Amino acid sequence: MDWLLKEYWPWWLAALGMGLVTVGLWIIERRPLGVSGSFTRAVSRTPPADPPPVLFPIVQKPPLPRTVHLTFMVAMALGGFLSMMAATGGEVHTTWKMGPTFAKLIGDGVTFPALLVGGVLVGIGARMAGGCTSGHGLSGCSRMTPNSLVSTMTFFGTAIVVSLILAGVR
Amino acid sequence: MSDTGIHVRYAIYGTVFGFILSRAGFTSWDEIHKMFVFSDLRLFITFMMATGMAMMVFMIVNKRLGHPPVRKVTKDTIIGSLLFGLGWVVTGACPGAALVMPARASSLRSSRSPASCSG
Repeated sequence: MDWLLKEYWPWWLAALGMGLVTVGLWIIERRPLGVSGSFTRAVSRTPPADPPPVLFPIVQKPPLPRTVHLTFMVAMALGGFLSMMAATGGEVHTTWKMGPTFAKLIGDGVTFPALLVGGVLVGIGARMAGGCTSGHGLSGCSRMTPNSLVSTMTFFGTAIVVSLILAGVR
Repeated sequence: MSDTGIHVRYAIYGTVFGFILSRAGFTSWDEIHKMFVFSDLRLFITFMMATGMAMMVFMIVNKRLGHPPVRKVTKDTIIGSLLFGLGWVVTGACPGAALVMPARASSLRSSRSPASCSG
């Protein structure tokens, strides 16, 4: 049982879990999984306008109360916390160190500004694209919706190219 | 259904999803980087298999259950995804992972939530 709590899960187990959350949320709630959507809806007074339907039949539910998105996000942090506690046997580990590869490619001295700029890019980018790795990636690609496929290929492609260049240059 | 019920259900989904993302390694800068430079394909395979499994289920159930509304591809889809990809390289965090990360170095990354709402 130790490997289940202390090591990274093998692909099949993690994939099974992520797939189940994606379809489970849809089957139970009839709402698609999408974390950046929760960010937006939790704080925005003007949620994104209803998009023109592309696929049929459409399931359109009234918006969730904003507080439910907050609950979901806090719960995700809790899940991460539980995962850490399970791995460390109950100890809380915190660190500002990003690891040696980050230090080499990005630079330890600029950890804070780099994360700030990167975080803003992730936030603005996901909002503009209308989704992130969960909404477009897991939820949209599995429905084969064109904009999710385009978005996922674009952000994965960008990330791969930039990472390879960084690793090559540094 | 009462509001409390919705909160409890979403608390369960969030906790489970957060735990899984963390155990899968999606919250680690190093693991994400290894995926991008193809030195370890585990996360790639995880992501693709998760999507594939969901795809099979959706193919079966969505004839009856329908689809969520879908946006068209616009210029914003492309530009946004480019920016997102770039930010993902630097932070190693997509929005879901960033929520799960505070246990590690990343309370910093919450700095982008204002951006995600004003954007």
